Amino acid sequence: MKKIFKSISIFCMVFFVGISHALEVIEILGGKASQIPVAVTPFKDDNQNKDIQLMHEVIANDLSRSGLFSPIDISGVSQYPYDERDVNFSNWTALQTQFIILGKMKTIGVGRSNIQVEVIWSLVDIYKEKTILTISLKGPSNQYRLMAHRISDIVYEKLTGSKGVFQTNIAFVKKINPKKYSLLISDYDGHNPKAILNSKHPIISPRWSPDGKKIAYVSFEKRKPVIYIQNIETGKRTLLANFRGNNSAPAWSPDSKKLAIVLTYSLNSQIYIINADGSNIQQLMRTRSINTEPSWASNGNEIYFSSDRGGSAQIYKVDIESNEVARVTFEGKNNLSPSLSKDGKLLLFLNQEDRKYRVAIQNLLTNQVLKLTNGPDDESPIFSPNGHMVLFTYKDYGKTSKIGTVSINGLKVTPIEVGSGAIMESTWGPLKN
Amino acid sequence: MRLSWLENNDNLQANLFTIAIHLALFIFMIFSINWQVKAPYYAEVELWDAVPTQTKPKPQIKKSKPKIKKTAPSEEIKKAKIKKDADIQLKKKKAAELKKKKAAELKKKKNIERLQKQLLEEEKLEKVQKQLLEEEKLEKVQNQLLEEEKLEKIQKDILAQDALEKLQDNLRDKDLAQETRIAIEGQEDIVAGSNSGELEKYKALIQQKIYQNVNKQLCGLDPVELIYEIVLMPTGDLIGSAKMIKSSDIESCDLAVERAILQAQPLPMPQDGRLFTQLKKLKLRFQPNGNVN
Repeated sequence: MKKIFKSISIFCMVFFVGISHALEVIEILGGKASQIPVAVTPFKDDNQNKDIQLMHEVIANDLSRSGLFSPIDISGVSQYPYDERDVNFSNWTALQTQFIILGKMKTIGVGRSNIQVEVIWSLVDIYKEKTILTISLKGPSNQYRLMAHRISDIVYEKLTGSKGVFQTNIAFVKKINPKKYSLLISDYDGHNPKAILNSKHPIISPRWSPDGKKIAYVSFEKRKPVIYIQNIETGKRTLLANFRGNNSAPAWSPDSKKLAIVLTYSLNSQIYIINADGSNIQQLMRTRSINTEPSWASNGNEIYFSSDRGGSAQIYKVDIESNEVARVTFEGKNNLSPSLSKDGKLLLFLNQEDRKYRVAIQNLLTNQVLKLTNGPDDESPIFSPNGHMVLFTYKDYGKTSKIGTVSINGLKVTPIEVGSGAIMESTWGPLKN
Repeated sequence: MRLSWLENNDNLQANLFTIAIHLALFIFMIFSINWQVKAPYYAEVELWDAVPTQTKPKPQIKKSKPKIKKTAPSEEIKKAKIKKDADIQLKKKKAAELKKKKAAELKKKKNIERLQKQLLEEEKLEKVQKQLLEEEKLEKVQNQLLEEEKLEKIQKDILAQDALEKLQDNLRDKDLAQETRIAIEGQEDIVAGSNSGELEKYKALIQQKIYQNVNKQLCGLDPVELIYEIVLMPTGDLIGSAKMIKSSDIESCDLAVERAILQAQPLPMPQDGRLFTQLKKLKLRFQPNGNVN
């Protein structure tokens, strides 16, 4: 009897324990496209170097421009922490920030023309109340912007898992007057611009090679559009395409060995593939309709392009081997200027509806379209190397052409300030090794 | 019989009838009825006892200026005039002196008043400065108090943290009997079935609060799944950290979801103790980019 009672009681206990482990499950499907609140506090500088004191502002601007972060207003904070031990977590939690970037710097040497500084900075998790990383950077004080961009890149990669693009470069065309055009290269945010080409004739469609060494562009110096390739370091120019008719819209292959170009050699605009040294030109498709604005997919096997074959301008893709064509965009009156993200999952293009040209992206997995800008005269959108931002040309209120960036969640549109004059036709350089 | 020619002549009859009708219409048009109702004419009259007599305006009589014959002044008159002139000048001098005196007095008065005002203003300034000093002192005292409060809070936090850690340890070391008790309580609830609606309500509230904070941008574009387990206090705050059961294999995504859970604190919790026991330990299944299957 005792044995029976014992076995029953053991059974009951095991049964109830089993029930106790059957936890309530809550399913959370989806999420939001929100920005991570982050505080970037001024770095402590005993030498009171005015330039270097702006480092925290450069970092905050970088993170803000990405659209994934929202730097909080720290003007009301009475005392900034310079060391992770100084962080008052309850105070910063009250300011609703999730992370804090803090640091201090010291002079480590004085050169002929510059001061060498060491910046020791930390990224602190406010919710978990712990330091994620502490890093020391050394460099000349006049390159404080570059050091700040480096810090932004490290933070970005740590918190988003993707490489930051804050140390990359962009190229753009500046129209100084109707008889003076310049092709310039600058930091990604428009600082430190340098001209690599000055011309009396318009320059359009600059495209940076994926290896970062060359820029292809269209010049009108032969009284018609022809395509040049210029080595950035040496400045040496090579005429790539000067065929009968117009030569335009160069697009690099992912390995930087070939280019897709558009010629009006025959009846109308058609896409051709040519080696980067100008040899072995071949027509991609043979159709009566217009095929233009090619953009190479990162797998190297497909080219996205715009065509009027369906009656209106839409984006199609063609398999380079089989020449099989498939339509990609269906929403909107006209869709132009395609460009693919590096992972091949997002298509960037110009969407025209109600007489407005807007920058839009299409998720190629779900075919969902998101309009990133309001237009009305947006042009030449191009992805950042990590695919998280878009560089594009727009017209300001005075109808002057300007360039700016928009985050792919559409939450942050930021102009790029590069002085007066019309700025147009921009391209984004690759990530630096 | 005499009218038999008329009876036999139809045309004549018709003509006569037409003429008669026209005549009747003509008469009707002239002497027609006026359908409009005319309002009687009223005249308003004021009754007076007597008619007031109107006074006639007096005729204006032009006054002609009397003509004075100019005669040559005599010597006496001349002397008197000179004396009079001298008197007037003297009076004028005196008046000017008086005026000067009065002006000087006024100036003096004004100066005194100005000085008084200055003094008053200085006094006021002193008062304000004193007030400011006092306010500064007060502020200092308040700041000190606040600092003390902060310190107290920190101490309390530390104590609470200690308590939490103890609680965690206790929970970790809970024995079989406790587990069994919880299970029995839970079982009782299930058997009763009375709280199932409330349970679902709180589950939905918790789901909503966490969902608001999931930043799916950090999870790429491909479908991923993450599972976390949490243990809650009756206040809705987490005991310890969220335990990851299944990773998305994307570090930023795992961290973003963990932050979403932490950010959602305090989670909505029922007052009912029995319901709480069912919700105190939860399994959270996330699919930030939509259904995995």
